[in-house]
Amino acid sequence: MAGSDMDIHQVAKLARIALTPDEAQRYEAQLNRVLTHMEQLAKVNLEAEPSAHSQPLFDVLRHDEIRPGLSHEAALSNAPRQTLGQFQIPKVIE
Amino acid sequence: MSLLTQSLSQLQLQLRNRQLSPQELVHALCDAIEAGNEAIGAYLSWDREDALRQAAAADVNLPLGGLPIGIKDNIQVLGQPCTCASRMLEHYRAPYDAGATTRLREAGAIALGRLNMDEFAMGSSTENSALGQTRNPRDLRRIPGGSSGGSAAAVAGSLALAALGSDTGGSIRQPAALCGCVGLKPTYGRISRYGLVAFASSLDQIGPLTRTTADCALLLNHLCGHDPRDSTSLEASSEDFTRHLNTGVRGLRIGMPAEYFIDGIHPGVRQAVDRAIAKLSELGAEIVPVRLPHTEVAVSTYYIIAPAEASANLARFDGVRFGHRSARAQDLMEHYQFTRQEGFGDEVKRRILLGTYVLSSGYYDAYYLKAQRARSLIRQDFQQAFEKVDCIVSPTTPQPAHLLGALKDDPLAAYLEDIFTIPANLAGLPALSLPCGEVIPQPGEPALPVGLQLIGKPMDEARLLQISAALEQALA
Repeated sequence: MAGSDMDIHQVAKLARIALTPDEAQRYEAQLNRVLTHMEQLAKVNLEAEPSAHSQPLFDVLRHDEIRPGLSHEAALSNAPRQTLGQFQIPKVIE
Repeated sequence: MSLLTQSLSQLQLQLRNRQLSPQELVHALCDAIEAGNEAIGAYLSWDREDALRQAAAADVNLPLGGLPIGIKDNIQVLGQPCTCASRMLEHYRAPYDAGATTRLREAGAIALGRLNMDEFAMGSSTENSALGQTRNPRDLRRIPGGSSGGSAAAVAGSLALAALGSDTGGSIRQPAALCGCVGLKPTYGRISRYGLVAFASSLDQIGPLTRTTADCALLLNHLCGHDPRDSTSLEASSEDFTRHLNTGVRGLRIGMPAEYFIDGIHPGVRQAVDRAIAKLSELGAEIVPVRLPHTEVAVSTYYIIAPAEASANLARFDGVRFGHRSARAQDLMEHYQFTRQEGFGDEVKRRILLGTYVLSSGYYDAYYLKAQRARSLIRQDFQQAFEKVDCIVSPTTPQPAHLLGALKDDPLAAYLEDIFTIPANLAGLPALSLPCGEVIPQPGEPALPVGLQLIGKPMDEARLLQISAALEQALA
């Protein structure tokens, strides 16, 4: 667990965020300080089952029945670009 | 007494007696906002005409009939903006009501105004808002706290009667403490998260910020309850949270954890908190020392789990269905990368990067899995403490409100100040902050509020409100 080996460019690529050189340098320095602080976790005895939640939760399946939902118009109302009643996206296949 | 400093129940009475109309109340609030918001910056937007339409339809005989409530800008109200104080959602309008909004409407309340916050609720000062600066009404040079800083500043500055906030690591309680109002984060699952823009789904909870404990209990009565649209919503039936407001604290056992009374707490904060605890003892409560030994790893645990969940939740901001979309992109990869670079601010990017890192191949076990184990231990600490006591008391924050900009370029220092509020989120427990005194940071400066935190057993909000009401009365 060593905070200093974070490759900010690789992480930014995974997160789909472009960074300016200044952003990359600043964030890397700031996050490495945070990760260094987190090394304290390696020093304590953590013998416990991991918990993803504060209470026991179970998958909840809704009944398979028709319910009212967003109208077509409402669903598209915040789309940055739309065409022919659909979300318009950049070309993804050649 | 000015209309806008009265309690919800006082105003409710006047509305029912027809001494006051909901429209008059809306006008009074909007006048106050138009006069006062430039200095305080609590609201990002408000719509007098929309509020008047709601007021005209309001049934004053409903429990919150005709009472306007301010809403944090990450909780959706149909047709209103919901920006999360982010450039990403600057032009977004909510296409549906959140579960909490529906409850408020069913109780007759009016949703008035969108309150500023740290962008996507990431921060503790509201300085991470991309859309405006909120200032502490008690001293305009200082932060209101955050992330629900707009909510706390509006309530403390008499620009709202009461407000909704959300709390992932202290985002209701910390600004309530720094501005001097009452703020409650309920038990995880009490209030529906449907329509709350998700930050860290296993930690987020909506809750009220109010001027008094009685107002807090009244509002909570009409926010809780099962919602099938939130799979983590508890099945618990609703209850009357006002039922113990006059019960007093005699015979209650209140725990004082050594780990929350440490060096580094501002002496004025410590003094106010000690005085409040002495008052609880005078009122007949028994103060019992307890231990919460894993408190020291709570900040690390939280700042792994919360960013990890955030990195997944905020993946939805991809410039396709809603929100900002970059005009610079040449291909799909650039479309995502530039959209997110332009749409998100520094702190949001930092947390997404941190979350992506701790979940990435090779680091998952070292960070995320360890944090999940630590989370279990933090929860067990509370379970053991609550075998001995009814409630745990602590300062809400180690320091009073900082000057604007004091921690701006030092995220770690800012994170470390969340030490007392984070554990209740990790354990899913209800916790409340109430004003317990004041501190004068420097001679000649305005006095700043100090918050006392009460942490309860799961589903024991009524007990926290009982203690808060007794203390509020005794300290008045």
